[in-house]
Amino acid sequence: MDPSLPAVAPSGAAAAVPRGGMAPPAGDRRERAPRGPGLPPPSGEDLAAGPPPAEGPLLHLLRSAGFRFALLFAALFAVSILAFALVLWWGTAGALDRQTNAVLRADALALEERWREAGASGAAEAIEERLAVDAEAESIYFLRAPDGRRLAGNLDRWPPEMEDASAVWADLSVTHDGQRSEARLHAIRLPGGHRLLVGRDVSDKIRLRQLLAEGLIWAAGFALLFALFGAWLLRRALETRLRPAFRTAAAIAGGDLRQRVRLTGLGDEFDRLGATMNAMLDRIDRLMAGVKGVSDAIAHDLRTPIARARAKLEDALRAAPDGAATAEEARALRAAIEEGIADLDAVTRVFQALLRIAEAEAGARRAAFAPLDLVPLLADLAEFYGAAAEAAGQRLETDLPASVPLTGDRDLLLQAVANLLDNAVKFGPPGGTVRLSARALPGEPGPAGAALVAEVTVADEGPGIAPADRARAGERFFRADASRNTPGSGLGLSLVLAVAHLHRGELVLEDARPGARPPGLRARLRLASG
Amino acid sequence: MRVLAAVLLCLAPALPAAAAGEEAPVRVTSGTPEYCGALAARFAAVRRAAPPDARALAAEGTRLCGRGHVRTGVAKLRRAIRLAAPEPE
Amino acid sequence: MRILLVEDDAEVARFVRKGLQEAGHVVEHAANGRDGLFLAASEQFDLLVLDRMLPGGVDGVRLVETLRAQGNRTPVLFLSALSAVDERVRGLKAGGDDYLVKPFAFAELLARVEALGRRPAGDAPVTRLRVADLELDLLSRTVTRGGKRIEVQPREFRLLEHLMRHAGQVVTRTMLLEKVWDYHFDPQTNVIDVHVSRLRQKLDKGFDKPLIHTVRNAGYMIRAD
Repeated sequence: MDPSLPAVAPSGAAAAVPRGGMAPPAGDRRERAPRGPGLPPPSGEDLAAGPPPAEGPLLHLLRSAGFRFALLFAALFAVSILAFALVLWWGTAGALDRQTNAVLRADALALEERWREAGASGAAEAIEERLAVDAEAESIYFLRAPDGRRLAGNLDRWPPEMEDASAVWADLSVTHDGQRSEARLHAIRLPGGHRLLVGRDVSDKIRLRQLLAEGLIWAAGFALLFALFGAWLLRRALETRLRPAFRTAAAIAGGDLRQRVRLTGLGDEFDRLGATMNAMLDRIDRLMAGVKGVSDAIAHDLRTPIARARAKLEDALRAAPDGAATAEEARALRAAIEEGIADLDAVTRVFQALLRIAEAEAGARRAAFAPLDLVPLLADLAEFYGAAAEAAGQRLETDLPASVPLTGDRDLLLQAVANLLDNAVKFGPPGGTVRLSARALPGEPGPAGAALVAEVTVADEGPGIAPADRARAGERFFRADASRNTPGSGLGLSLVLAVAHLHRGELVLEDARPGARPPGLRARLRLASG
Repeated sequence: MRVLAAVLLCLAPALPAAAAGEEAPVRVTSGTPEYCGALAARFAAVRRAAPPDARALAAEGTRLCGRGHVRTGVAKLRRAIRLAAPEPE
Repeated sequence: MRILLVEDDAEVARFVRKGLQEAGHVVEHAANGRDGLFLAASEQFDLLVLDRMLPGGVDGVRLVETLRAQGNRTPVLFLSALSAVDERVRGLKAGGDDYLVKPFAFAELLARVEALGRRPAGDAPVTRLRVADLELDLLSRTVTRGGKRIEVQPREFRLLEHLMRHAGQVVTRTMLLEKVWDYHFDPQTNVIDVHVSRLRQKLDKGFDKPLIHTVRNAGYMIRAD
């Protein structure tokens, strides 16, 4: 495959946030588009993997190995047919020609001999003799004196095509008994400026040759048809045999690890390929199950002690006033315990967010994808966060079309947009406006090669993110300096990014109001369907 | 397929059709009544040594030439001469 | 209420048991799935509180599936350290009625326990909810207080309906988020509070007696006095 070129960000200030973060899990690297050896390592602003190069149907066909094999097969077949036809032609039509030439040469030599023995009259007599016994009426002779007179022969004149003394061989039309026929002629010079022409009527041989040629051409035509048919069969057979492996690989890439290649039982190369793939998948499956088991265990082993600690603190909170000596002390104790509980809850929230991100990135949730309409979901969210915006003295405006269909994960999409809205409200100034909009995309190619079908945009009037920080904004726990003092875990955008990747899409961050101070942030969540 | 055949036929080597000039082609003169006469005279020279069926052939050839069937007449006369002289030098 | 708690972690079990008893409930405790199943199948309970992961072969999901297969319809609240969305879905599919992720605030657990345990019998469909002089008509989807019509948004109507269906009970913010909005994530801000206070303003405008009360460290409650 050709290396995908990096996508060009829509505006100079925009940046598609790269995949991955501080410690990308193994699954993170999996879908990264291959890069050419000559390209610089991923850095900065152009990190979204590019769309596959646009290509015409012919190029697409040439990319198919099946098609190339079939083409090779057809070419080999055609070449061998051509070679066969050439040999056949050489051995038949060519032999006829060679035979005619040999006869003419021998005849001319015999007459030349005669000339030498008996002079012009002897040669003329020999010619008349030959003509007298030529019952098939095939022979043509002309013995010419230096003055152009005919000494013997059966042509009305010396053919003008052979006037040139250097002309030795010729094919030409003659009139024979009022009918046009083809003749093969051989001229030699005799001593004293005489010239001798020996020829044969080859009309029958030419007719034979035509028949032969026609037969060969028909045969070659049919052979070519068979070659094309064979090529088509070959290609289809290859495709049919490779399809199970291809389908399985696609399903696996889509996160469905239960798929296996169906084997035909023939035990051939394709079956061996399928069996190897299956063995590999079984191993991956075991590893994944192991990982899932481990993360379940981690979830359990981390949550249980936190649950215990929280339970003890809550218990203590209920009992605190009893143990304290004074009301003052009791209040201080209560406050301390409450802070402890709040801290534990914060830890739990971060942990929960990390688990969610891991869940999205593992792609395991693709099984939960369902067709949905983004618009009512977004309208609900807008109504939900509109209250928060109002409480913060801001306005939340929406620009939603009638419908934006998508196949995806409702809960994760909701949470992603909620995180964007939460950020927008959190960082927007009082009196500012947060804009939520959505539109269906016409299916432009996304970073993972899938066609992007929906875009959700959240724009605020806050401080924005400096271009240098944008590429890192999706990293876990990354927080731009400007937001150090704002509460939050620094995981919000990581989750948005993970959700974008789960939907084979991208997150583009750019200035909402380029040039203005503050520039604001526009986050565009671009998603592919299913 | 027919077009292909035509193209290949044109490309086939040594097809003499292209050799025909614009002027009237050379004529073969051994199909004329005069040549009939020449052949008959030639046969007459060997007539005595000729076997009977050669004589019959020659007679038929002369008769055919006389009726205008020059081509077959010439062919018969030539076969007669060939029979009359079984070993031409 | 008579509650069966099946929880293998002794610490958490003690805490939950103590809390529920203080709230006036009778609690039986089983430390593994096998005992839990035996108790649940042989005695009558108003509610089961089950840990999702239990030692001894019978985990929470298996336990509920077995009970449901026997026709036992006792409400079930899952406690789980597994937060993945599909784990929650699996728990509910198996026959659980609610799902609470550890660690949790006891108030959250108590609110959910009471909401589950005091569910109406459910034979006669309710068409009208009433708390003091506040009336909510589920058919005409109107709200009146003291005979005066109060205009509310559709979402506010659902919020009020949920509060009124659990009148006298604490309803936590998470419960509102899950039941009214069907959101299963942490919105990170106090949006719920904003929505409740908006509704409260609409209901209490022109009346001196507030109906929606904030319960500290827990949530909200609608009640007559």
